[in-house]
Amino acid sequence: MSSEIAVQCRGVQKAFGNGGGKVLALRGVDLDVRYGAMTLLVGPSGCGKTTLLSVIAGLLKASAGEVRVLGEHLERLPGGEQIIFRRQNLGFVFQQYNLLPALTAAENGAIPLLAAGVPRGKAVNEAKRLLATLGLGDRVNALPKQLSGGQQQRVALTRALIHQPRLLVCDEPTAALDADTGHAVMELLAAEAVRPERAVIVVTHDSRIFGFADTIARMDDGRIVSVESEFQEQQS
Amino acid sequence: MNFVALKMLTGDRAKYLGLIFTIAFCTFLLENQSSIFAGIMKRTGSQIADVTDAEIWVMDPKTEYFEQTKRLKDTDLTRVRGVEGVGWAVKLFKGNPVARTLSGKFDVSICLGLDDATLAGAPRKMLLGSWERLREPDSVVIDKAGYVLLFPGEPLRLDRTLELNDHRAIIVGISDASPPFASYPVMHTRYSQAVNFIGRERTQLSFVLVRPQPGVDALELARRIEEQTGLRARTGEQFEWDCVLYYLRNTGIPVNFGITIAIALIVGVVVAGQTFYIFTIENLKQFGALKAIGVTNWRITGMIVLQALTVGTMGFSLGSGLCAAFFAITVNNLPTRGLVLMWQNAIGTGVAIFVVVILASLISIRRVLVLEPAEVFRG
Repeated sequence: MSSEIAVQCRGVQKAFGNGGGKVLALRGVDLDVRYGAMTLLVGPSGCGKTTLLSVIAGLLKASAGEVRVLGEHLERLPGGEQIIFRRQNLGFVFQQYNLLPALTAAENGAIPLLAAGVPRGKAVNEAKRLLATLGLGDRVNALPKQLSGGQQQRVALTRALIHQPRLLVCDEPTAALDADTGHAVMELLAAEAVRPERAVIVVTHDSRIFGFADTIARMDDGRIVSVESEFQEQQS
Repeated sequence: MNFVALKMLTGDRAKYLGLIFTIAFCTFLLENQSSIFAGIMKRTGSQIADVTDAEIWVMDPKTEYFEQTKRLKDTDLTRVRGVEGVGWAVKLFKGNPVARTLSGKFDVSICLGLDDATLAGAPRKMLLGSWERLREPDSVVIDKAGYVLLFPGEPLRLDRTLELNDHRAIIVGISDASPPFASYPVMHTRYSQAVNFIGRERTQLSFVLVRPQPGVDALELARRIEEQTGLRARTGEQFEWDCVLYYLRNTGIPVNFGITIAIALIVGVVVAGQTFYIFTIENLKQFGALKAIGVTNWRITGMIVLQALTVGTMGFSLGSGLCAAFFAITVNNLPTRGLVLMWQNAIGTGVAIFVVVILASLISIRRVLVLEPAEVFRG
């Protein structure tokens, strides 16, 4: 496991609304996410996990504080460059998969390459290769509705990894899956996604998958309340 | 990403087909009604368009359209001939005698009396017989539609007898005259013969047909004739437009067709716009995921516009095909002969349809553009 920091949050705040209706979702978050590690953001519903993930991914702008992602201050990047940064460096896994229903598994997996301008044939072939690695080699031409939940999440994982992102963000990847399937997806995630040059952040409240984490950051009421890190244990 | 946009579109087959058929229906109605309207308006100048050998029509200064004639004096023909630049000028008579067959079938007709010597002003296309036979006594040439009207179910045959205002007339030819505004038989005969059919009046000259000398501009000559004779002189094209504009101003036809066309447009806008809007909104989550992944707003706008243009093109093509098929089937029916899908109407409809789909897509795009990509994390 690398000691290099991929994501660094200092005093990050995020407020929604204004005036009397203002809600502070993040109340000064400090967090370090390391390369080569899987970091779990855990906590009860409404504690700010997904908001923090959105801020780290550059989908939401922090109201205050500093966010460095892969060495870049995201809030200082102009809008267009932020999108390019996200396209090149980030991979996403969503709770509800968000696959395009009209596209085959291979075509869904190829989307980040297509968005980057890679020719269709090359992009789809690359997705087929990765799907085979993830155990879906015989389902590359299936539509999402023809796949089980676990298979759909593996397609989503293909889409998240195909462009070799340096940061993978996963929002409740096992929430829509049964225990066994969720466990299988997490095994796959740990085996295929965690790389020395990549950081993985998983938002979850599923305690059954805590065993896959290198670091567990617990959140409550918009703050990080504790961090348990294998890295810290190794150091101590 | 274009293929992603197209697969998103065609993947939802029910909405995809619904959009295409809505646009096709709208296209069909717009093209069909506007073409029929234009065709009917064009008929108001049919008898003018049929005269191809003369370029200028001279008439009473108060005449506004073809059906409205005030007799000129015979000396007016001489005055017109005296204008510099006139190649030749001949008389044309127009009247509306009642045509009656021996079986008792009758109808009001349009009777055009051509210059006895030259027969100038006759339509070019003859289906049966010859124009030369008009020189025979009591002879008339009748148009095919008029023949079918007066002799329903009977084969086209020459030398049949009918009565025009109780005068005996013999059919010596059957022409393919353009359909008039009202479905009256169109008779051509010699000027002197036509005067006999109608009955002599103090004055009987309806129009003077003029051909300019070679190299003389028709518009300029018409202006000169007006200046020197005090009569109204119009080129054939101008006179046709005078007729169209007269009917537009003085009848309920434009309102009638206008309402149908407006309803087609409104139905098209509302249904196509709403369906496309719903289609985009239902895909909002997918668009959100694409935005999160790093697809730019411009690219997504391009995808939605491509989807809109695709359904617009397919719907327009299908609707135009149906409309062309409709006119191909009806163009040979006598009541609807000459009514065709005009390219001007097809282009106009195409522009309207594409404005509709672009508007619908713009309304949908707005929702996608303001969508926060973080929404995609909200389950």
